Amino acid sequence: MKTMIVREYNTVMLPDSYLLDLNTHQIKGCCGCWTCWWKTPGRCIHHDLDCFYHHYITAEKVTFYLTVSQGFISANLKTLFDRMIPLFLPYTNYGSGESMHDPRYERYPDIEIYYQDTFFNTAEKQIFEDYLQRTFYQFHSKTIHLTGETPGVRS
Amino acid sequence: MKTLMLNGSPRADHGNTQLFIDHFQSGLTTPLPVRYLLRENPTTLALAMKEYDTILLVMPLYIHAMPGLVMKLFEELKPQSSHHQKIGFIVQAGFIESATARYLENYLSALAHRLNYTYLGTVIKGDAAACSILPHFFFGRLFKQLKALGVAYEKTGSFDPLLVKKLGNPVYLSKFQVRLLESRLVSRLNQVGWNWILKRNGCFENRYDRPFL
Repeated sequence: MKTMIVREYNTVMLPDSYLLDLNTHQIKGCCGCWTCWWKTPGRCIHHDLDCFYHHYITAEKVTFYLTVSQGFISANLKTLFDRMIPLFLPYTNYGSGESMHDPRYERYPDIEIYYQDTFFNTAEKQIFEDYLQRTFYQFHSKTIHLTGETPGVRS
Repeated sequence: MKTLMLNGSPRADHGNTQLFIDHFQSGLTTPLPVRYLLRENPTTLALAMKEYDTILLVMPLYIHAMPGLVMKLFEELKPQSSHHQKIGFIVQAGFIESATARYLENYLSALAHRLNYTYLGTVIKGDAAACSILPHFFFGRLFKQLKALGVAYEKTGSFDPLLVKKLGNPVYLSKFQVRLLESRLVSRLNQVGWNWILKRNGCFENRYDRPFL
């Protein structure tokens, strides 16, 4: 099975898996130009994520190891999500009863997320989990699993 | 009352967010200072924010939340020792229904609480993607509402709840709206704008490209 790892903590690595280490890779920000939709469909003007795009879209499963920053996802991860918009079409469909961008590719990977559970309270944790569930639902992933881990303790 | 407006758009003063700020400001007798996150160091800006009683952050919705550069600023904010500072947000989004921003709204409320700010609320306006593309007369009603929001803010130091409600409609799409939007005619009409730009840019034939397979 082709896999990919995106990590902000942990040193886990699987053989033949593509790794995006967000501790060492600062993602260039989306500049909101929409070039990826209306000038070079599917391609961003920045090229720092070209390898990521290929591995993401051809992986069967992508595993994320995420830290919590100010009660939410980190700015670097949020920037990565902003830059994933070329993987979808500008056209919108409403079949699910709400607005969704059409998929550009035939299939999208299953998502497995581990995060360091350092929340102040359960409400913050719920906001974090709801956001990630929604994001990958919008990204057309069919299976999304989230698991909170206490730092330093793994069951 | 000393208020600072922040523009959280990666397009700075060239996009829809700036239009929202301009029309909000048109309702004020004294214009508010505006700073652009794109052009600032987040650490320096976080320190500068302490000199104001109220912060109004205006931003686009990116993937159901704030753009990455706004999160960079949030990461630099430290909890206040008292509740004397206030913070409010205005979010403009592309999708029609404002519920697509509810994940962000929930977070912004929690963030204000976490940082000890008094939370003024979040104004959400959907269906705003084309504000800076189409002629402005298409958005006359929206711009009037933003101006009225500015007028009310100057008087009360808060967002007018009635205007917040109006701007946030529809929160969800009704079954009738979904049926209409999914109909072949409306669905084609929705694609006209995108297709026109794709044709103008000479890449209409490539619109379904899958470059990363």
